[in-house]
Amino acid sequence: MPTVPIVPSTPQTVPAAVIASNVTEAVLIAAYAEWNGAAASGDFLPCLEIYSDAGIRMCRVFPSTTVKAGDSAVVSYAPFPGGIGQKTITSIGSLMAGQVQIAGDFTVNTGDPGTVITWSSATFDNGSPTAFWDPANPHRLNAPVNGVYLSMINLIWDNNTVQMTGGQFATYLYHNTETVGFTTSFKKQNSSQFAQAYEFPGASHGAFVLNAGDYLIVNAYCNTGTTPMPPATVALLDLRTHAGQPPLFCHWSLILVAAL
Amino acid sequence: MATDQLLSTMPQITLEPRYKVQFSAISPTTGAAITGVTVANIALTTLQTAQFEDTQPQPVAPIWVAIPLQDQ
Repeated sequence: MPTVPIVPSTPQTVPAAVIASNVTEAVLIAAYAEWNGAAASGDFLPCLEIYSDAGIRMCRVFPSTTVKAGDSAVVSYAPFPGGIGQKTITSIGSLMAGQVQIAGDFTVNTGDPGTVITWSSATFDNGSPTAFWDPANPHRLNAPVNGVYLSMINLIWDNNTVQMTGGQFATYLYHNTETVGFTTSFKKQNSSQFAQAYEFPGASHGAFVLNAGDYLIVNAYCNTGTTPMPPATVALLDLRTHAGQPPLFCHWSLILVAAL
Repeated sequence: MATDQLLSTMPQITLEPRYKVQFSAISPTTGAAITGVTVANIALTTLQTAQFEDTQPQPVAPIWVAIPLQDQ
């Protein structure tokens, strides 16, 4: 099964043709060509055509994927009797993700039931066909499509001002409800024992399967370990507004890792 | 600039003498020729030994015609 490289191998402007010059028949079973569209006048299909000796076009074939103007393509042509499975290997498209933040310090009531976080704005959001965050419902992050999502919450608790020495900070995730309570919680983040410092109990809440239109909310909870709980409130901090502190702030990200 | 790795189905076809295998770029919407595209490192696989000739058209050289001045 001979493979015939066609010379010259230097780039040729299309349409470029080679002619069977042997005197006997030859069954063509595969072809290969490297296409360069750096100077292409538009998006194009890299076609292979066969013409008879009388100039009649007998076939025109091309991949199912269009090559963008400016891009290149390595194309193999063959009968592929089993069909073509993975037609294209291209660069991975950008992930769909949204992140919201709190601008300024945010007050959380200590004890039950905590406080549902109101997010101030989206730091980024490329949700499609709908955005992850809608200011009309500022507590929520919404799932734009059916898929597996990774939720990551990073909060900064002010344990420096109140200097509590016992209890826990926690965040609870709720799915398709803003009625918070222990029995309706969807997921609880790891807690943190108090120490005199800013607390960053901000691990991921994990991965969840969500349908398009589903939403999540975050309830911030602080238990001081005593009854009644002093103080009545604890702040989630925006250190960008505190002199001499690093530019850290509370944020929540929802990332689509696989569409279903 | 991205480089796509593409596959295309093609019929198994018998090439008679002087049959031409041509590579062309066309618009996916209009079918019109797209200019500025080049192709390189072409390779053809056949069941029999075959020979091919490159028919890349050569640029046409300008033709200069000297016209003698007439004496006044």
